[in-house]
Amino acid sequence: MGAGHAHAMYVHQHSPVHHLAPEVKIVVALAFTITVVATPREAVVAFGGYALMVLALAVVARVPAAWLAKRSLIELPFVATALLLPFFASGPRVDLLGLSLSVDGLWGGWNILVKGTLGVLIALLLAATTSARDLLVGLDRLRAPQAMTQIAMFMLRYLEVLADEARRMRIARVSRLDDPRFLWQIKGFASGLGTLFLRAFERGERVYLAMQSRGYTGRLPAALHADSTATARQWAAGAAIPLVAVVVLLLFGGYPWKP
Amino acid sequence: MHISNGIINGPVSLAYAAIAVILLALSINRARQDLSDRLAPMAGLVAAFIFAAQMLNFPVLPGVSGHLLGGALAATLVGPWVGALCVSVVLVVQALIFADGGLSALGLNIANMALLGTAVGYLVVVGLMKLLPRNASGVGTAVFVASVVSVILASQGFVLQYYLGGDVALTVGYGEISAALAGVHALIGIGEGVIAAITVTTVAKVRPDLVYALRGQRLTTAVTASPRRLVLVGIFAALVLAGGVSYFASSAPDGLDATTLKGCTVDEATGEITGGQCIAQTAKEHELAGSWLGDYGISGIEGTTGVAGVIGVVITFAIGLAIFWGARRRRARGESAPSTSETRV
Amino acid sequence: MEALRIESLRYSYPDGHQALHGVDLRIGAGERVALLGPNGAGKTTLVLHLNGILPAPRMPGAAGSVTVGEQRIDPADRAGLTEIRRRVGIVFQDPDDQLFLPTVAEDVAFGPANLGLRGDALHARVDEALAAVGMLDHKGRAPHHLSLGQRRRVAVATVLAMRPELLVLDEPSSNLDPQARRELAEILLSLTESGLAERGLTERGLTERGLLAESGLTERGLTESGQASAPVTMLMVTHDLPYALQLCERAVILDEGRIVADGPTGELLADADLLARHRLELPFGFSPHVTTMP
Repeated sequence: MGAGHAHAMYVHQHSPVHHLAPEVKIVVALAFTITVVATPREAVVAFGGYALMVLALAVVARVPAAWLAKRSLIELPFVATALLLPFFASGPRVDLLGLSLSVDGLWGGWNILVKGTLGVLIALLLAATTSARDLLVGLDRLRAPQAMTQIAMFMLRYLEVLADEARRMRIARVSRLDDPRFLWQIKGFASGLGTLFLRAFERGERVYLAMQSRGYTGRLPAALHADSTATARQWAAGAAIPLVAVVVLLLFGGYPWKP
Repeated sequence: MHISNGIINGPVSLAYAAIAVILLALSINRARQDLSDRLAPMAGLVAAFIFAAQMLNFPVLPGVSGHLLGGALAATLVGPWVGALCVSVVLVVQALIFADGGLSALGLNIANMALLGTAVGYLVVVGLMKLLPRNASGVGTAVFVASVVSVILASQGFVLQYYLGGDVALTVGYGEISAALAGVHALIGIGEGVIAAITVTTVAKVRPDLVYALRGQRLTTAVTASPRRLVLVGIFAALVLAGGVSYFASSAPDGLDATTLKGCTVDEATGEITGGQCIAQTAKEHELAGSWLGDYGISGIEGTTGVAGVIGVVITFAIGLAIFWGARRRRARGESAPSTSETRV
Repeated sequence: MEALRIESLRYSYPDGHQALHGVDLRIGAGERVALLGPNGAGKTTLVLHLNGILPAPRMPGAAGSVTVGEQRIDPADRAGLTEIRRRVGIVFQDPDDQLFLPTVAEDVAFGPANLGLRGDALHARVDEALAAVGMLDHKGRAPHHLSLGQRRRVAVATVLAMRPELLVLDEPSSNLDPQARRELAEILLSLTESGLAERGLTERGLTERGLLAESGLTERGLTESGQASAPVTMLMVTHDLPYALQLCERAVILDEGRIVADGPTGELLADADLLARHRLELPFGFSPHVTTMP
């Protein structure tokens, strides 16, 4: 797996969504997701509205539908959960195609299915329109702890390097007649993992030395991230998305104050 | 293993997010004490290692593969604080950059895998190291047990979350879910434990100074309680959570017939094991794990579920130890393995 | 003027292994010196002493002194170390260790930003360093998308951006293909033949004074740039003897923690007995006598 994983999600395009500041996109994605999760499961129309919004965003961002569909397969285990719930849930039951299904369970399964799918699609749109580096810059500007954004930055930088080392070690192992099948490989695999850790840790020490040699004293200089932060206009444009979602929620969400 | 959006309701997700933020702040603080200004590069490389390790699948049974969670492994190698921080960063990056695991469920996932898994794993290792020799095989054995326990407890973390914030009331009691998940995760945990044990042993042989759990002063300062008590508490806690809780919590069980399980297997057969905590997958793997026990617990003999859970844990521990000792010997060849289980490393 | 003076430097690692047994070495400003020696001779340990990464403050196994220019390295003096690390640029062997930021430009900016440069002055410094190694066109790329030769050139740029007086290179030619190896040699020669700062400035036609004034940098910045226009001194750690001959007029051999030979590179390489005693070998078919110096 390793290879290509580290930058597989970003879809290079020039679209208004791509050019939006990363911190705006992160906040928008989070707010949109929370709105979706907060929507009562019976509000089918509202979910339809959200789906249309996601679709519209995908079109504006020029993210291919096939790409979205393929990537959203990551959600498959939860689809299975959703399919199972009607059998497990308690409460009144209906007969459907000769099966006795729980009404509550059907709603529950639908709930997981629709919220999970919309959530994955929103996250995919975020990942497709924002490079990994920009996402970290965005988190940094949102005052995420520097310790975490920096660790993430180093992680992404060296993921490929480590995956390459792992691949080379595996080839070396197989070349000496190790049989990479089933349980028999587990020892070679795991001691390879131990070696990989040693290499990772020792590389960490060397990276630190190289950083120290260039004057590092524990903080990355702020000047590195000084380029264009979000403007008020970008924030306003971004805020429109969760606002529309909230309006959809209020209109079709089945709350008492529904007009 | 990653929970997606919509399985646990909003308020509980938010509460967990708040807990995760607070505990992460604490972890960052303590991790800085461990690594000072080396924190970013060192923890970054460790996080990259965990991420890489998670991407490598390993076979659990023929046709079934799992992947590492790495909580106990990380805690043993780099300590609980840096470990929790690294696993959390992996989860955040997976959610934001790889769309894996719901954004709104981030707090839930961090709580289970990064915080609970790491903390439990570390406590068990620290406890066991009081009894075991302070060398490579000692720490290997400790990390094996710690991995099993931490994976099981991480799965119990999900049961607790579903109990607090699951939208749908289930006919299956929480006891059954708890026991079923514990059984399955004991199996996954054994896979994880064997790999973690060999990994740590390899490191400990070459550079024992890099294994956090082998550093003298850390251990003595970290643990103030008496060693024997800690070990007993650790093992007891595992048993209680895996089985005991289900015994007390078990409500009237209901039918769970084999056909639904088989249907689930078909549904899931296409996917890799990217999530071990979903109920469907649980059911599927559980069937493979040893259906007689599963049936025994769930088929409705009142009050036996907890016993089944405990038996499951004990048996899986035994199997795990057997595999562990087996793996230490020179492996024998000759058995054919299905080609589908070949993993990509 | 002396760029580097090492006096009876000793060092033992905490595990008791003694790596340096009293090293004495003087390097004049503008010299290019090759540091040769077999594996385990203490070369890397010595390199880490040149910018104060070793020894740790109050370390029992350490003795002797290292002086860069007029400044003696004191491991306990943090402010002094910052200045030392500006003046001594170390290019490590594996460029992946050195290039840790997401893009080339950010990585080159890391060092000067640590020195306090901001805004246009920082950008100018990055462009200057990248231009000096011929990598200006790759500014926005990620390090892992570059070839090894390109990464090593960027690694040199990350150090050049700090305008070092002493440039230390650890095995610069290792694993490079012949063309990348030659290109790097040309770059290294061009760096030391003209003062780096002058070269960068004339190439880009920038007025350093104006830029610094704009960014509000103080006199310290100006004096720094004044120093940097002195010729760059180079110390190259290598096993690659032809490379040493091509790039350095002088060579020293370090073995078992001591300097065992010091002289013109051509003479040292012509002494077959000396090389054999210290596990050094010329490549098959290579003769130091017939090679013309560049």
